[in-house]
Amino acid sequence: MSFVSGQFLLFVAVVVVLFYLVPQKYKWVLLLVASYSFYLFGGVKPVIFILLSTFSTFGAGLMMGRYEKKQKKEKRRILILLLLLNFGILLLLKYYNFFAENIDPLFRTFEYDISMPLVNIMLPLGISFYTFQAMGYAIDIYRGKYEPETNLAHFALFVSFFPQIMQGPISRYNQLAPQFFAEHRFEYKKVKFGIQLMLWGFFKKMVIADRMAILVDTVFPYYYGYDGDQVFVAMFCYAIQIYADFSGGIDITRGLAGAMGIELVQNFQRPYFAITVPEYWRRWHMSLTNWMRDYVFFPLTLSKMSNKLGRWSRKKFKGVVGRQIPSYLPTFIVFFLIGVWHGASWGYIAFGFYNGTVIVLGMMLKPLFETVNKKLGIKEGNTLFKIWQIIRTFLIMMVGKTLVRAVSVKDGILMTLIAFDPARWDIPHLPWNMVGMGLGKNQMLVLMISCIIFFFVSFLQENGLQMRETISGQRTRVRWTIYLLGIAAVLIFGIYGPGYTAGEFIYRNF
Amino acid sequence: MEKIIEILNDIKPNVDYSNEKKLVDDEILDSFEVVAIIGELSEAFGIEITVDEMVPENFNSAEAMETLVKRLLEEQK
Repeated sequence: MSFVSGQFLLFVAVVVVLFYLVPQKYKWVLLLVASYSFYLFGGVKPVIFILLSTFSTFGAGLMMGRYEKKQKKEKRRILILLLLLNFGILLLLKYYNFFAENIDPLFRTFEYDISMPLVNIMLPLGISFYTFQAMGYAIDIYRGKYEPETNLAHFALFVSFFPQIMQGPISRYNQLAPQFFAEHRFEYKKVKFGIQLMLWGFFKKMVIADRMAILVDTVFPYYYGYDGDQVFVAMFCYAIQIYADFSGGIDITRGLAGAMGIELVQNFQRPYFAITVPEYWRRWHMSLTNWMRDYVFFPLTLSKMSNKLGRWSRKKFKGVVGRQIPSYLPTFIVFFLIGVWHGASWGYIAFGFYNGTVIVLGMMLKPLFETVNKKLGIKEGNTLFKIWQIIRTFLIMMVGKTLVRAVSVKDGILMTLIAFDPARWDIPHLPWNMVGMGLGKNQMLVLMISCIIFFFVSFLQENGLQMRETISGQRTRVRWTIYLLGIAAVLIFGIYGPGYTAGEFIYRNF
Repeated sequence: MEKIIEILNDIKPNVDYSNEKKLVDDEILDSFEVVAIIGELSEAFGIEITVDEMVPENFNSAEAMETLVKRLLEEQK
């Protein structure tokens, strides 16, 4: 069931109404039934996988809970088995075909034919999201962060909570689970704010992202036939499309949960206002990057081997580099994992490597940049310099995203070379040429106005304005004008596919 | 305490470490800087800081770091 379908809206309306009608002690049962009903819409077979993850993680949690905090050895055995099982399933379902496709030619070069068969596997809905969420819980139990859940049904709800099953955010047990059992009385403000956030999500998804998609899908496969500035525009549009698509989906998710009084973690904090690439990653898909930081980056950088490396590097290289060396390899590993988390392709591997390289180089060259800025008399906090840093970070990320979206990594590199080649730009004709990029004049106008609204709202939020609170403070007439304009914008300017369902979310495939 | 503040100033100068109470929560220190601080603290005080201690509360202020160091010195005697 897609988030952007009439079926989904009806389902949500029924669940929210029932949620406030059923007695407090059964509210979580309703959420569990709704979550599994939602999941069953996608077929019966995928349920086996989510049940397997739920049972195994729940059982392992209980087993680890029997040991004292310091009995690490015993707990580690259980945790490793659990991680192997769950990540093993994910690897097998998600990456087997990619592995088979690439291993065969490799063996053939050595004149071996192992002919690994390709299998047609339907990836269970949200497997990357719920697996990471469940494994985060298991690692927390291993670390003694909190006590294991003793009620299987409670735990099953944590793994399967339907608003977030399709595209996250990846929640933490101690943040999310207690909210299922807390008292939830009907509050007009919560429901209103929830619906408003959902509406904003639909606007971003259906008016902006799905319209951008038409342009992107037109230019990306045939980029060689376009001018440099047109390719640049397409790359720019893809960066906006994926942000509007994913953050729009998260707004719908958070709005829906919020309408039931459940606050899900933030997943975006206006990433395109970041002034450096590491800051971008602290603002983009935050629940995944925080997961990687806590469960991959820190364990790697604080391992015994890393400590040894750190002692050596601090002696060998004085200053910043000596201190940073233990972080270099873990950074590459984290970004490789973030890349392949999205899917099995060389594009994602290249994306991971690209980000790792940019961040490590940025860290290494930071002292040099600071010296240059000092010599040029640029002060930290200078507005113009900050705008340049924001544009620079955006362009770096735009190129990275192109590597993934292009037909192949090679095409992504070629597109970048064309887009940044001034000799291939034809600015005077761009306004006319843009009409030949899949969208007509009126569609282009709608897109531009929508993007200006999107930017304006983001800019205000970046400067601390609470949009929904501000709207609430307006007079009834103003408030309802905004609501009706929002609804009308989605209904009239939303892009609808066959059967009046909108395009699928990009992150649903991860 | 002085040693800790010296380490902090060396890794990230221009921060009021004596009064700042949300070094991690307010993202004054990023993950790379926290890792660098841990490396220096471990070496300066001869302690082992494991991943279990990686909670913002332990690194939000110079004072919290001092408490952590003291506790680990006691535990790892």
